[in-house]
Amino acid sequence: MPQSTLAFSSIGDIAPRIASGDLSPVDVTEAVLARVERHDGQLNAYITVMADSARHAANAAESAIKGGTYLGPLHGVPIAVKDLYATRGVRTTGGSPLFADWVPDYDATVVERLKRAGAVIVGKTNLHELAFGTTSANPHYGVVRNPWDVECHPGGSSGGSASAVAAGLAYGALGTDTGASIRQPAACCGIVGMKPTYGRVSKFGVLPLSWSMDHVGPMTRTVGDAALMMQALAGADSRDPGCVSHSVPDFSAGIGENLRGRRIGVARDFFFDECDPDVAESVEASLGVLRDLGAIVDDIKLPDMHAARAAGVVILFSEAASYHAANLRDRPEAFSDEVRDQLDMGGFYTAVQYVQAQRMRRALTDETVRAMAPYDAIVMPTSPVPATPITADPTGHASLRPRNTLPFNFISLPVISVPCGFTGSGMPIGLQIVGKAFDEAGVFQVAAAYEGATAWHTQRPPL
Amino acid sequence: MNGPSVKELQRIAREDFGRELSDSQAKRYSGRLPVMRQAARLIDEWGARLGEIGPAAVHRTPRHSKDVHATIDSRL
Repeated sequence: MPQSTLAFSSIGDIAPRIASGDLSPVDVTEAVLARVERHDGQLNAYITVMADSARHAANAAESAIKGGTYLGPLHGVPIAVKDLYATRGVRTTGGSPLFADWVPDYDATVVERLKRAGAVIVGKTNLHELAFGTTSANPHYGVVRNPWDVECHPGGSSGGSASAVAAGLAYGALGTDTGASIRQPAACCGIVGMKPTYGRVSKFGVLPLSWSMDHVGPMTRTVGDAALMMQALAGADSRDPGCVSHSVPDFSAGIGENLRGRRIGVARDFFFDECDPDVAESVEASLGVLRDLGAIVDDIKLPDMHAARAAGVVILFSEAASYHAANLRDRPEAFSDEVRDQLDMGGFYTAVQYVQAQRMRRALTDETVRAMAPYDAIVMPTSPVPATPITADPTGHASLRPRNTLPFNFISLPVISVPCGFTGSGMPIGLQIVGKAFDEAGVFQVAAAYEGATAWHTQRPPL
Repeated sequence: MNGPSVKELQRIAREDFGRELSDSQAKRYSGRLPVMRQAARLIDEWGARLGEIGPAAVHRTPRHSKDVHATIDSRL
């Protein structure tokens, strides 16, 4: 098999071959490193490529498997990690000069769990500075480019992870999502991005942007691969006080089951406003696919999402201003103008407004849970707008890009973005599927059924 | 220039957020300030509707000392 074909296989495809000894983790890792060598100069998806330690881990995986110790479907599989996660002995920059020289002496919980599952960490991916933005045009570590059109941004803030996975420079990646940052770049790059329920996955060792809005999750080329990664990531962690001790289900259990009788709500109000026509058309077409799969698809009325978005923005900006207050005072030159202005403005909100926003959060979460009760999932466009040229960001896109995703950080429900089409200019479009609290398995089931009935996820960027 | 003038932005900052902005700050904040005002006003409107509803939980119950990992940050 040519290296480029191997690098675009799914984790689900290569895992059984690695387990049986038919495929070597060393070959898999070399295939990925060859693509990194060839394409990352252009994409700038990685801040740090860990070629030596990746080769060492791949050799160790090969020896272990030959010796009869197989750790599961991530064993020997190259995975990228957003450079917001602490990695023991490897520089962790957060995409900022503030952390340019920080070499942690510990791993974030999820990095530890990936290593325990046998994953080969291939490198640390580029991101929007401090994860506070949606283009990944990083002024300190370089602009990340979208493999579908290198003149376009890949979304953000996990733009490097999205670009790397879409371009075959990793089989999967860790992203983080405070308002959009897993799902919107996944949509922009034509891959799958999963933001789990708040508390399902530990955030210990992740540089915060907003403690009560931050989420950790996988980015992959297929829904099944996202479920496999989630299986390794999820679970209680006493080092993250927000992490719950709920039992972890088999996230892949429903994959392959049909959607007959499943009820899916279409959230039209708010989420379809100001949508790019190609986005709206692709999402409408996806509703037909879900109906053809046997789902009952009808419109759902959700509570006031304008209020959810507004309160979510107040919480996000206030918490970000709090976390960075000392650095903003002592090292203002270490921030770009864009991020420094956002943090300055986060300090404009009052304590009363922050608490009111948290009270609204409780009210709107309860109302949303009630509205969703008769449904198995709800759907809408991941982002109302696709990726646009790096040098010509249309007016208003900065606030439109995270509009459809941020309410679910505020409400904390599990959400996935799956590829559902392309614009006329060839840029990917994402369908967002929202589930009930801690029903990630149900979200994966709907997403996998949709994916199985379409071919969007099989398209490859023209690199 | 589309959108509010510098003077209008300065008025928004003063009246809605109690801040005095220089001309250059007003220009830099022009994209976000009107959206922030909208958010702040929406939140203030909601205040009257919230009644007895308390905030979403962001405080955590203290744990046994062996589980506590929080330390003063020495990264910087």
